[in-house]
Parts: sequence; C-alpha cells; structure tokens
Amino acid sequence: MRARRFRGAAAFVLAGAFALAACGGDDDTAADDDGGEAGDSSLPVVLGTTDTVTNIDPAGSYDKPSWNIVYNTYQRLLAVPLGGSEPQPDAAESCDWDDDTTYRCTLKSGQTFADGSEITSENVVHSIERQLEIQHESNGWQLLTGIEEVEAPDESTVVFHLESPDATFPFILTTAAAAIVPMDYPADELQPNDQVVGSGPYTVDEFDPTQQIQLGVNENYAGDREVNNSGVILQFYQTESALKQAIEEGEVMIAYRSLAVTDVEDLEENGAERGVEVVVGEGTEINYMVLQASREPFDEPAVRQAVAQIIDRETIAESVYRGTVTPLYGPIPEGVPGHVPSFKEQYGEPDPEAAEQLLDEAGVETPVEFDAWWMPDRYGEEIGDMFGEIERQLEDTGLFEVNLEQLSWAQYAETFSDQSMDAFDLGWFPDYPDASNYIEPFYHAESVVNNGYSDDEMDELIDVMLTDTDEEARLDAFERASEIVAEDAPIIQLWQRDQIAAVREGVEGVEETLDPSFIFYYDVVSGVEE
Amino acid sequence: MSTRTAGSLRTYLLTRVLLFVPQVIVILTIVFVLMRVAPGDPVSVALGGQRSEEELAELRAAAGYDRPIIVQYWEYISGVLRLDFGHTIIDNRSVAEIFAVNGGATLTLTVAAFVVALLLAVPLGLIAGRFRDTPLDGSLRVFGILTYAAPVFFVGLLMQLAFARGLGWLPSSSQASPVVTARVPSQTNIFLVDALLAGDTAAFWNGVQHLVLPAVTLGLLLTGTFMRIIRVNLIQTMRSDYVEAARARGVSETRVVIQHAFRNAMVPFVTILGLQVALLLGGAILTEQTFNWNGIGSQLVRYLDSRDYIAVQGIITLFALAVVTASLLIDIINAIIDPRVRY
Amino acid sequence: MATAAGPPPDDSAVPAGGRTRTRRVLSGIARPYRDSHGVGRFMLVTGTVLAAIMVVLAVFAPLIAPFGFAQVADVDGERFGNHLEPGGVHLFGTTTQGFDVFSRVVWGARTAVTVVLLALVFSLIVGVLLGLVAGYVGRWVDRLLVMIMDSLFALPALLLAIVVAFLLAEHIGGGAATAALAITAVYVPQYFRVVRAATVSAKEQTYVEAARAMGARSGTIMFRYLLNNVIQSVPVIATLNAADAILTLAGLGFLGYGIQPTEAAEWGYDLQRAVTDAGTGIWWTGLFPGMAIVLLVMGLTLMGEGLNETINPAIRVRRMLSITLPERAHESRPGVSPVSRQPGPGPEQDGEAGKDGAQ
Repeated sequence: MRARRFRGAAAFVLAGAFALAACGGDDDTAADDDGGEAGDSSLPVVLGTTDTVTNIDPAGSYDKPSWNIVYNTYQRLLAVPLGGSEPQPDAAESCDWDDDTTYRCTLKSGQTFADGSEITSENVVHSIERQLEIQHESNGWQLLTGIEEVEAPDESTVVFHLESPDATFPFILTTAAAAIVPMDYPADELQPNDQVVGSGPYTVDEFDPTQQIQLGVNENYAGDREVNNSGVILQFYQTESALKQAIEEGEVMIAYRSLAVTDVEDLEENGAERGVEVVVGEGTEINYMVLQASREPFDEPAVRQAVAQIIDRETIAESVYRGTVTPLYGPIPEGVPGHVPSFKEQYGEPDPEAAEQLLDEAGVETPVEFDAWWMPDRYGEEIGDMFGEIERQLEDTGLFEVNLEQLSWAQYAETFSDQSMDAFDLGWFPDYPDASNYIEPFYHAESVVNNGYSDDEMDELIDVMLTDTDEEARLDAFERASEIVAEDAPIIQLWQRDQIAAVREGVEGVEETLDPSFIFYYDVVSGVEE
Repeated sequence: MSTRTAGSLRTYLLTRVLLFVPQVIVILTIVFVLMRVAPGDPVSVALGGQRSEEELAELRAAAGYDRPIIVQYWEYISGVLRLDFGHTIIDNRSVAEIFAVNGGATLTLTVAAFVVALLLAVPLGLIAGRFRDTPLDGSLRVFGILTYAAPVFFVGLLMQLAFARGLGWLPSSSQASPVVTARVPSQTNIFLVDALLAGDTAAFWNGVQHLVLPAVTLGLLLTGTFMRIIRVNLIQTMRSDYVEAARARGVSETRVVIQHAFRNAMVPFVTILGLQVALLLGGAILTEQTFNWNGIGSQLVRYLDSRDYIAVQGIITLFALAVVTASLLIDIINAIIDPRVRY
Repeated sequence: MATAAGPPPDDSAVPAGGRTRTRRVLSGIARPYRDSHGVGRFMLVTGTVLAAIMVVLAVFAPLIAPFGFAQVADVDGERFGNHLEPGGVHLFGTTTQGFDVFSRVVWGARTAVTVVLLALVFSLIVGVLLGLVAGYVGRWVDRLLVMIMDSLFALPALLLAIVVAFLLAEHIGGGAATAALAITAVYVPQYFRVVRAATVSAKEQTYVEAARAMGARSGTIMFRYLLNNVIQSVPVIATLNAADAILTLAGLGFLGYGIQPTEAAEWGYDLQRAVTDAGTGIWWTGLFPGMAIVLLVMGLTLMGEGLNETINPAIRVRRMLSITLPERAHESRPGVSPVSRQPGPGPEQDGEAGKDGAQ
C-alpha cells in the first residue's frame, strides 16, 4: 500500500509538471505515417513549448516534459503503440507472466546504444536497480517499488519478481521510469543532462532547458520506429502568447503545450491565413475539485451531493474555456475504456432546487460556507476564471457561501494533502492509459488527495482493477466504482481536455502522436522542409 | 566639495573603496534577512509537498538549514566571498552558471538599450537645452515624460503589435530564430558575438533583427531620464564663464552648444550611469518577460515561481553586487575625469 | 553637480509669521499654481487635471462604473459574453473573462490610488521616523541607517518590490496592503534621506543654535524647522514617487506578484491578461488599462515637475538635479548613487547642498 500511495503522489507531481510542460516521447510502434522517406528534409523539426524540462536521466525526473525526451531518446522493454492501449514489445522481443508475481522478458538481439555499446539484460537490471538506489526526489522510482527483485539469468533474459500480483505491471514497464540506460551511468547518482546516452530514435546534442534542447537522429537506433525528419529542436517560451506569436511568425513549426484558450480559438478561426493549423488529439488530462470529506462541512454527504447537483459543467466549458474542454461527468475520462458518465446519470441537469431539497432532508443549515482553493500557476490561467464561475454558480443558489483562495503550486502541493483546505482544485495526467490510474490514486482509503474518503467496496474494486487479469471483471469494477463515487461525491470531476497542438502548414504526423498516452513521438513528424 | 584638491582625490578614492566593504556586507545582510529569515528554510518551501517530514528533516540537515541562523548567515557571507552563490534547488544549477549562461542575453539587451537611449537622448536633450523654455523644449520634455510614464510591458506590447504582427517587419520574441540558435555554436553565451565568431553573418543579422524591438522598448525607458539630464547639464554649462566668454566673442549659440558646452555637459552624465544600472536591470526583468528573452530577469521570475529561494537569493545577491560595484567604478572614473574634483 | 551653489532651499521657505497654519497650508498649496508660468505652468496644470480626473474616478468608482470589477452578468443573470467589442452597454468592451473593461479601468483607478496613498503614508511614517532618529542622534546610529538605506537603493527597485510582495503574499495574502508594503520598501529610503538631511541641516542652523542658547527647547524649533523643510520637499518627491509607485504596482501585477485578481481590479494584471488578446486582434482589453496607467503616471509626473519648477525658480537647476533626478529614474532612485553621498562627487542632497551654500 505504501508503494501504491507513493505512486499516486508522484503522479501528482507529474500532473503538475504537465500543465507547464510539453511532452514528447519515443515509442516503439512503427508509425504508419505517410511522412515520406526518412531524412528527405534537411531542417530539423522545431517544436515550441512553454513547458519545463528537468532531468533527462530516467532516474531523475517524474514530469511529462522530461519524460517525453526520455521516451524519444531511450528504449523501454515495452511501449504502448500509438493509438493503442495495450503494452507491446519495444526493446523486448517478448514478455510474459511466468506466474502471478514473475514477469519474464526476452530482449531483441543486436540492439545498441547511441555510443555503440550493446544492450543486454544487464542494462535493464542496472536501470531498475539504480532507480531504486538513487530514489530521486522526483519520485518516479516509486512506480517500481512493487519489484522485489530483478535478475538477468542470461544476456537476453530479464526476470522481474514482484512483491504482489499487479496486472498493471506491464504498463509500468512502458513508463520512462523503466527506460534502459547504459552500464556507465552511475549506480548511485544521476548522469549529467549533457552526457545522456540512450538507444531511442534520437540523441541529445545540446541541452539548455532554459532556451533550447537539440535532438539529433540516432544512427544506431535499431527499433521499429521510422524517423521522418533530420532532428528536433525544442524551443522554450515563457508565455503562452510568445509561443503563439512564434508559430505565427514561422519561428517554430509546432506549438505544443500550452496555448491559451483565446489563442486556440483565434488560430482555429484565422490560423489558415497565417499558415497555421490547429491539430486536436485525444486527451486524457482531467481537472477536478476535491471536497474535504474528513470534516465540516463536507463530511456530510448531502453537502457534497448538493455541490455536485449545482455545478454546471457545460457553462464552465463554454463560458470559461469556450469549448476547448469537454465536461467530464465521471472519474474516468471519455476515450479511456471504462468511462461511465456516472454524475450525469446520478444528478441529471444542474438543479438548484434538488440541491436545496438534499440539504433540507439532511437538515443542513444554509448557506454552507467553505473555502475553495486553486493554484494560478499549474493548469493554465483559466483555472482562476473557472473558480470565479463555480463561486457564482454556487452562490447564486443562495445555498453556499464560497471564499476563493489561491496559492501557488509549490505551497499548494505542500498543503492540499494535509486536510486544511475545504475544497481544492487539482489536475491529473495518467501515468499510463489505463482506467485504474484514474480511480486508485483518488478513491482508495489511502488516496493521494487524503480527503478522508474511504469505502470498503471501493477498496475491493480497486483490488480487482489492479490484480484481475480478466478484462470483463475489470470493466465491471470500473463501472461500479464510477457509480459509487458519483453518489458519494468526494471528488467532483469538472472537465477533460484534448491535447491541442498548432502546426505550420505542411507539417504532418502530429495528429497521430496526440493519443491518450500523452507522449509526443517526434519521429512521426515530417514535411518540415522549407 | 569645493575645497577638494588633487591630494584629496587620492584620499577620496581610498575612502570610497574602503566604504565598499561595509556596504557589501550590509547589502548581503539585507538580502539574507529578506530571503532566509522571512520565509523559513528553503528546503521545505521548495520541496515540502513532495516528501515526508522525516525526509524533509534529513534534507534540511544535509543542506545545513537546521543549524542556528547565525551559522547559516556566516556560511552565506563566506560563500559569497568565495564567489559561491549556491545551487538552485529545483534544477541544481549553480547561480554563477545562471549568470554565465543567461547573463549574455541580459547584457546584450541592456547594452543595446543603452545605445538606443543615447542615440535618442543626446540630440533631443541638446535641442531641448538649446531652445530652453520654448514650445519645442516643452514638447520634448513631455515626450521624455511620456517615455517614462508608459510601462515597459505596455510599450513592448504595442511594439509587438505594430512591428511584428501588424507590419511583419521584425520578429517579436527570443534572441534568434530557433533554427539559427541551433546552428550557432555557443562559446561566449552572447549570441551576437557567437554568430560573429562562427563567421555566420546571416545568424548575426537574424540576432540583430530579434534585438531591435526589446532594445528600443527598454531604451525608451531610459531616454526620458537621459534627455533631462543632458538638458539640465547643458543649461548649467551654458551659464558658465567660459561659455559666456565664447558668446562674448560672437560665437553663435548653436556653435557654443556644439563646440563648447557639449563636452562639459556630458561629463556629469557619467555619474548618472551608476544609477542607470539598477534602473536598467529592473526594466530588463519586464522586457525579458515581454519578449521571451532568455536572460537573468526571466530566470529570476522562473525561480520565484518555483519558490526556489536559494536561486532567488543568489540572483539578487549578484544583482546587488553588480549595482554596488558599478557605482563604485563610476564614482572612481568620475572622480578622475571630472575636472571639478581637482579644483 | 552640486557646485552651482544656490541658497539653501529652506532659507527662502521660512514662513512669515502671523498666519494660521491652515491658511498657510492652503496658500502653500495654491502658490505653485499662482506663481508658475510658461512650460512649468503648463506641466503643473495639465498634470493636476490628469491626476484629478483619476482621483475622481477612484473616489466615485461605485457611481461611475456601470458594473462591478468581477461582474460577468447583468442583474437579470444574462451573461455579458467574452471579448465583446467596445460599444453599447460595454463602452470599452469585455475581457476574456467576460468582465466589463470600462468598469475594470475605473475600479483600477481606485486600486491604484488606494495602494499609492497607503504606500505614501507607510513610507512617510517610516522614513520620517528613521530620518529624524538618524539625523538627530547622529554617530553610529546615523551611519548604520544610512548604510542600510543606501543598500536598499542598490537593489533594483522593481526587484526589491517583487521580493517583498512575494514574501508578504505567503504570509498575509496578495491584497492592497501587501502591494502597498512592497512599494513602501522601495520608497522609504527617499523620505529617510530628505528628512535626515533636513534634520542634520537644522541642527546646524544659526538660529537654532541661537534659540537654544536663549533657552528655547531645541526640539520644538527643530520640529518646526523640519516640518517646513519637509513641507517644502515632500510634495515634489511624493508626487513623483506616486507616479513611480503606479508603475511599480503595474509591474508587480504584470508579473503576477501584485494584487490578486479576485481582490480588486488592477491595471497591470489586466494588461498581462490582455497580452494574449492583443495577439489575436482584440485590442480593447489591453489598450484601455494601458492608457490609464500612462495617463495617471504622466499626470503625476507633470505635476511633480511643474511643482518642482515653480516652487523655487531661483534654485531651479540645482534642485532639478538634487531632487527630481531620483524620480526620473524609473525605479525612483534619488539622484545619488549609493555611496556618493559620502564624501563623493555625486549630486548633492538638498540639505547638504544647503549646508555647502551656507558655508
């Protein structure tokens, strides 16, 4: 349970980093893109972003932007193919369960790192062991704590012994936390960012996370991905508007994470005449409000239900986000198998009178006063506007009295789990595209949000999600869990957002990589010759 | 002042240099009190949310924040004396490295802004002084006030709208196009110099184009200040005996300005430069933010937003030292070149 | 620069006896307007008018602004809509959040005036107290205070304001008081400087000595002397500082360290939110708050300069150097580099210049 709890916690940090950063990734599936012959363009892909990259040693980060570079410069044993939802072999030839707690992988032969050294099973063991040895503060290693032991019986075989059965383990092997590093990476400290060597499609040529990161094509790459360009330049922008100007002026070819709502709207409308196109992919970023079920006023389920009954997600999506987000009515976003719009089924349309009735029946004195917290610097500047909207919706009924409080992320991250906030906003990006990653961190008795909610049936369902290998049983568990959380409403999901990128005319392949994995595979991008 | 002699120049310089030491100590103390005592220990502020109490305590101990504040104070001061300004918490860069890497951008921007300000302010200031109290003088002064009254970011925004978006003449952000940045090898961390070293004139030109809007924006901020100083100095010089003598010889007023008064009017100007260092650095923070300029100002904002107090403390320390040192140098230069010191 | 030895500013300002304090103050206020002429008068009058307009907006904001600063729907609950063009009900259009721009500008004037007044009062109190102590006690107390104040100058003012605002926001939240305190930290040294110089200068005045010799309480005399001196210098400094404070406040708001948007309307914050709009051709959300800042700062600066020119024309040039320089510097440095007030050749301080003149 400790590992589970920490994994969730780490994912939170990750989620935060997402909002600021872009991702990229490398992946193992060959892209079936129409991008033409590899290397037919002399110019690299220039990708602009407002994100922040920290460390690109896999043992030193747990944020999407850094991981994205890891995904593009290292291989993992398994990877979720573009557009897919199940792990497939990447550096591995094949992987399978020996028994409930033993997972065996065989490596493909003849794979080398960019520096020419060969990839063996020892590298995998080294990669996992140093993660657990270094225990970097970014907490990505927490994903691997379920591994009791990892061994390399021969040069091409790796065997993982798990502490307990975990159906999601193959997914964990697809994360950057399990990326494979060379033997000369120190076992107890991080490899400097300007000296990283991987075996993915790209190599890191220049590393300056305050301005620009340059990736070159890895000549030694032996995987399945086809590289359709001659390299990548990641250019960093401090503001969303600077990023938007840059793509309009043609300084960057792709603008990915984040464009302001106003900019997206403008580009959708007028982008064509400036040679810019907006590309929308499937999104799995969600945003939600946690209610502090551990104490007054939200320890009373009727109060939580009343909030759920009043909040008008459509208006938020339309007035605040102008259609760039989709209202989310359940814990699992649309597009992920297991999605059920349980809040809509439970509460129907926003209805203040029904809310009043709920409160009356429970004998709650109105107006109910509470503080609602949000952070200005994590999920886009519109969050503040959204909370202004929520405040209005709740107060217009006369049933609630909301005090808005804001705190910047550093302090916020420190505070939200100590039960001092009545209600607070958070966002979430999945570690891997499996529905359990939207349930377990939030609704388990030891949840990351620590809002005092617990339910025995929920804990059992979570156990099914994590250990049962029968798809049907898992889907049933997701559905039942969605119903429970709509009825109890310890957390109110607000919206989910599609990944959006803006691209210059002629740039192709971006749409394809904007899939629910949230990994941006640079190799599929093509058509950037001038 | 009027009693100072050549001998007292030496005394003055000595005093001035000696005063530098306590001033640096005081300023370091102020920075320390502001940054360290006020918010609590940097470790829990920056990383608190992600760890357990025990882990935090461990980290605090490792970083030395569990020791008495006076010991930490001593470490800070002695660190600065060893030119060690600490390492950032969030990405473990040394503060000195931040200055080395990002300082070039800020330096380019401020120097260019300074040149722009001089180019505008010297002629305008001289004209205003020459035609003192006429409507021309009045409108120039109002222009000067206008340049001062318009916030940097507002001017920057208007510039971007007009010249980048509207007319499409100039790029609106960054030091150079990403592709160009990528192909110029970084040697000095000053992009324009690197481009020249690489013999890449196209890259140099690209960099100059990117520099125009931010430099003019920040330069305008200084223009009003400079104009007024030049105007006042000119008026003052025009009253002096030797100018009166030139006038008496029948030299025309405009020639008096150009040949006689100009040089002397510029001398006290040097003194003012010391002040402008602080002003420039302040304006640079906003300009960098507006134009996505990857200088120290934007780094400061980045670390502030991440609550990285060590980084912020280091950057402020270096900023302050830069200003104090600049004012020391300028006082010394001024004492040497200003003839009035030797009267 | 201080070599043009004029009479000490204070000498000419010793009030004629016999008038009541109120009358003296009133006539003191009116005098610059009566006495000014030419460019000075133009600046003074224009500046006063501009500043007065903004003050009227600030004071009567609830009457003038058609909507609240955070209002997005009319009384019937009908939404304004986002990014409406100027015209009709929304004179200046609406913002990305659906706020009425005109109302935001008007309420913003109130915020600006409130913060600046608060900051002025804070920095006067602190500056005058410390200045008095330093000037009167002298010796090491004086040296230490001067050193600290000088060091505060050495920090770029916006930087200092950012840091203070940032630290205070952690403890007391991001309201008007925080912004005012941040600005206070920047301007205290200037009042300190003026008051200290005046105090030092007062101690050495012959008539103070004389009065003391005749058994009068020197404290009383000094206080009167000082008051006169402060009344002489402070309006100019205060006006120009106010102008600068508006810019600092807007800079804080623009960077996101100023007043939080839920607390009040603030022009700098509005401008920051408008940056995105401007890139999409929506000009009205940025232009109007930007113009409001420019007009108010210009008004105050013109007023300060006009005052400066007319209060004492005889020492105009010298005073321009010794007093107005500071405010010219965007970050409001006094016209002295940090240490040059020591035996330096830098521009002189009012009081010290007066002393020179008297010698």
